[in-house]
Amino acid sequence: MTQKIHALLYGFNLPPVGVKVLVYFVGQRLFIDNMPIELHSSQLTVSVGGFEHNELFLNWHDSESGQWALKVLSTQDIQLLVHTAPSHLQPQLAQWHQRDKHIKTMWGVVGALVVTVVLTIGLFVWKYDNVVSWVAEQIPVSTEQKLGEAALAQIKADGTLIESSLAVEQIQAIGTRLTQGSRYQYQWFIKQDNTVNAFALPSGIVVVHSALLEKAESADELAAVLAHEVQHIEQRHSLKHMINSVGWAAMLTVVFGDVSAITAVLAHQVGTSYFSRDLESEADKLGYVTLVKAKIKPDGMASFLQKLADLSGDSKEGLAWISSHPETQARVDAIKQLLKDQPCNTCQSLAIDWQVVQNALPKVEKAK
Amino acid sequence: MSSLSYQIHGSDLQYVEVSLPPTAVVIGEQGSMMYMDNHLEVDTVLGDGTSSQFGLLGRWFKALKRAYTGESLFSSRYTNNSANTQRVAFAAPTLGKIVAVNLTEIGGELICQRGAFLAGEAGTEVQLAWQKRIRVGLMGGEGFIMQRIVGKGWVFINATGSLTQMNLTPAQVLQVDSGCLVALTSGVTYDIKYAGKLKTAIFGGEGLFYASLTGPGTVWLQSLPMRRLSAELMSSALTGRNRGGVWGKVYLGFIIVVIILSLFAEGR
Repeated sequence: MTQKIHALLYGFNLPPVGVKVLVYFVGQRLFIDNMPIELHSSQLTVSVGGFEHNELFLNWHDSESGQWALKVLSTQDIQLLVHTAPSHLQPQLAQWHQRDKHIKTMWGVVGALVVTVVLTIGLFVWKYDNVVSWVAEQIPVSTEQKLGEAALAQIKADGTLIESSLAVEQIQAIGTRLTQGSRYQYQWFIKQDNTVNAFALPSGIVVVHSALLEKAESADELAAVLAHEVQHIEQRHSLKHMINSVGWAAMLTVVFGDVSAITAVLAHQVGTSYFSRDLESEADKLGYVTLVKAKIKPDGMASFLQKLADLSGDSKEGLAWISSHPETQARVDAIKQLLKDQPCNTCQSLAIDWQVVQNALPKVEKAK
Repeated sequence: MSSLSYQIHGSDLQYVEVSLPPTAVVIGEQGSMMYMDNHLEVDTVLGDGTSSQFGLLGRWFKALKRAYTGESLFSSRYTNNSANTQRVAFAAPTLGKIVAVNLTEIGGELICQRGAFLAGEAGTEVQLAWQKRIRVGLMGGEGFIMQRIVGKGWVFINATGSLTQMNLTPAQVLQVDSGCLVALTSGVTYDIKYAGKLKTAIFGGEGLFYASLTGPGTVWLQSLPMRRLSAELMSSALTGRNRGGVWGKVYLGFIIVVIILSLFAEGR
């Protein structure tokens, strides 16, 4: 009549691995086969444990022999126990189901969290450019000014910066036409330098190397370079580049967690000390639009770039601009395409006597 | 029934020599064999060589799961086909002790930390034991994956440092530093316990949580978790000095600031 439950008995003077026994309830009392043990159900406490947290234990305390425990062997035995146990043990026995449910809920929550994080990261990677642009736009112009001024001060310390000259005035005149309605206060400089280069610092500082002015054949070509640099500033490329680098640094530090990350960041920084190809072509494209808007003949952009592309083959002087502007020939082709697609018929060449501007440059550095 | 005999040699860096009577088979972890007698037949088997109801694919799956518990994908099977007793010895791959556990005596199931299995009688299987409780998996020091060794007869497990066996009576609770737990029988409740005081947690050097082990059952503990040993060796071997402290972090922060500042100084 009474169904017996398989269990392991642990207790005083028994082996630590337990003894297999058969137990059964008769009314409120618990009996164990072949053991002189008889217990009232009020002495029993139920606990859930084991490595898997799915084992059901019946525990009791004996004043002489200490703590005893019965581990119910299988799930069927547990169900049998739940069926035959006296009613006031039932609330305690319910723990077994609750524990199971609790574990399942926890894993459900973790699963949902992981999915959310993965989706967020996925979205972030997918819309990476938009995220960087958004962050860059949040930085106030005043901060940018501080950055620009600090960088400018370093360049000024070299003593090669020309701040007032006929050439500077001409650059300023062209620049002003290109920067109508900008939020930045532009400053224009010439740097005494033998490399054909021009660069932009945040907040509207444009520096043109003297060698570039010598290489350029017309004011239009200079205007093209300026339009390109202006777009680096307008599009906040320095900030975006910075956010990129700092983001990488932070990520690598998290991944590697020590000084070796810094080495990796340094290596990365050297590798990307110039704007990416995407940013360069963006500056080209928007620079072209700027030229058209200022009614300056945009052909200079293609011709000057072409000159540099040709130069890089035989002369080392062109190298600086080339290495900072990769895939020059591809860019030339892109601009030629723009000239074809969006020609500017009302645009005119700048009425500047280019020879006079070039002559205004001090010629001292040539010997270097 | 368990016919093979063994002897453990060495004091701190141990190996176990197993004597196989005729027709007996023992499974050893790849690369752990130290020496053996001439007439043993050695075979490489997928996983632990046990079959699966899903055929070859099932065996591969089992072997992969086994590999996740810190064992290799293949193991070596040593069969005594001769008429005499043959010996084979397995050495522990780390600094530590080997313990022989008779699975038959402890109920046919033993849960171990990853990579604990060294060798065992034929038919012992190493399965993956997944820690279902998230906080124990995260903070318990053993991770989410442990080994479940099931079968009959002797298995040899190894761990770093000294190994000790402790029997827990019902409801007896033992608090163990996380990482020191090597093995437990399946009836032992493995949970974590908050160190109690924030001060202890931060300056006690023991971590925020202890592993709490509740009887009835048997547990095996190691005196020197591999993580502690390797951290100790790493910090002195790599740099010759420890840069893990507060000043190390300040130094790191300083370098990051310099790098960020240097970004502005660049030209284009």
